[in-house]
Amino acid sequence: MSLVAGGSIVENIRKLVELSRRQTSTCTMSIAGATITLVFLDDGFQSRVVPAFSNTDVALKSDSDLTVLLVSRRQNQQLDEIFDAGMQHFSGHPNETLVSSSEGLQFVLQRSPEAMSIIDLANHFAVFIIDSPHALTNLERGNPLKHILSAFFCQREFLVLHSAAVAHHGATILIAGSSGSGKSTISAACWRSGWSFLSDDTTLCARTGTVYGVYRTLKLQTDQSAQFSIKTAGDKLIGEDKTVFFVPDDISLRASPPIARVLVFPVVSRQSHPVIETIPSGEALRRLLASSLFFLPVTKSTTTVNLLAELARTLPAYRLTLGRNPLEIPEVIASVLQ
Amino acid sequence: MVKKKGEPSVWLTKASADEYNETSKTVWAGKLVSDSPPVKCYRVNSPAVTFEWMDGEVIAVHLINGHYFSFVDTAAPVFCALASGASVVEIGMAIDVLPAGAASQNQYDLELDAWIARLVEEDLVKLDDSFSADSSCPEKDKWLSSVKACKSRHLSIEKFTDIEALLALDPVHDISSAGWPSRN
Repeated sequence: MSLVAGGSIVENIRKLVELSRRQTSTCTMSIAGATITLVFLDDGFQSRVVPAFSNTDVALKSDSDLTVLLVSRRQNQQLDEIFDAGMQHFSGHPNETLVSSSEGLQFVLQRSPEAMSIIDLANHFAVFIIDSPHALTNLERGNPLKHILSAFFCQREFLVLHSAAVAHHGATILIAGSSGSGKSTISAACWRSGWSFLSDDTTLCARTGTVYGVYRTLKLQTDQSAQFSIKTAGDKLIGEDKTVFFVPDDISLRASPPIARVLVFPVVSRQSHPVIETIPSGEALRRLLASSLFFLPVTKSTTTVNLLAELARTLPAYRLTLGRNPLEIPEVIASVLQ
Repeated sequence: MVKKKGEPSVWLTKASADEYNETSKTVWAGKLVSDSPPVKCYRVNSPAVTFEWMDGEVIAVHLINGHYFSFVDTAAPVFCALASGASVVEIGMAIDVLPAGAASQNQYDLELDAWIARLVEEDLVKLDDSFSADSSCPEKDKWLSSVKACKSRHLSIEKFTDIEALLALDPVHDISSAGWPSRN
């Protein structure tokens, strides 16, 4: 396959693999039973990407289920040209994502920040290319490598949900909804009440019902974050719209992941108090489709719909109409766990 | 009003029913086969479309355009019967045993035709030319029994387009031998 740049993506990736073997700056982590190694071809990536993950070890080197190279586009001329050629295909929407596949590779282009992910799932290898580590936005630093990790876990037959997840007394509550529906608000309220935190955005659900969070970060509207006096790990990343919090390890739950018990679909309202109501499985599937099916292009498949339906059939589902005081939410959710 | 077996109105739209009355002989695949209408069957437009039975509700998803649909009450088993290979005549016969509603049988047949036409229009099902009239399977019989057991005659269809916009932002490109893909 000839590229606009005249080279081959496969060739370029091979060169990058060679580069990565000489690279000493790595970090290995465990997510949902998979060992993932990040290789930093620019030192600036490590401090900006690693804090979003828990169970990380910057020194450990072992056989990985997935190796991800993080590279600045300027480090490789051909990748730079590929990057430019790919970016010309955006229509200009800030959150547009394009997907393409060839020779077993999957390409995902992001507009904001401008970045490209090349995923070779057959060879357990992925490359994340961005202008420079400094180009990562606060939100990207909160959920780094989302496209690569979603594609990887989809292949491992996990259901990748656009969902928050919290745990209380050994039961996981999946909180699914589109952006702005209140997932993070509920997560923060539950965190504030001493519940365990798994995820506020990207959740992995195994067929066994076991739930894993990918990131130990939580994003709240900056003007909303003051009402949650929560102890965070490290500095917050304060943005104009949203602030990214790093959840401490004693709150963030990874070691013994619990089983999903209920599905909750939040609805923002102006009513005084939160109300939780049961909904039929069909409505639960429709709400899961709306929130998760097109969360990422790699999830567009019949299998994903089957898995979402299985989840909706298995778990009791509730519509949670949010009230004015989010701190009342945990008690309302706890009432359906009894 | 009880409809007799073999009456064409089950599968014909009103316009085609008029046409049928004028020309009672049927040409099928270029041959004159009988004076009965051809058995019309449809299949789900997979892999673009997938559907799930959810405790009395069918959710069908069009994975290309992002539209998804809800079928409840009688529409749910009728959709499953259609998907399992039941012909329109068989479905019409199953509905036939329902207690008479407010609508007349002919009106009801037109409603079924219109409902199926809407499924075709939404690209959820396609006419299946490979259907064998003698084919029988437990799955089809199960859904036809479910149709017979329905208390309501109304065939509903609810369409949801809220993920269409998200999908439009995630176009899928194909790599060509010329290099990086052209815009679709």
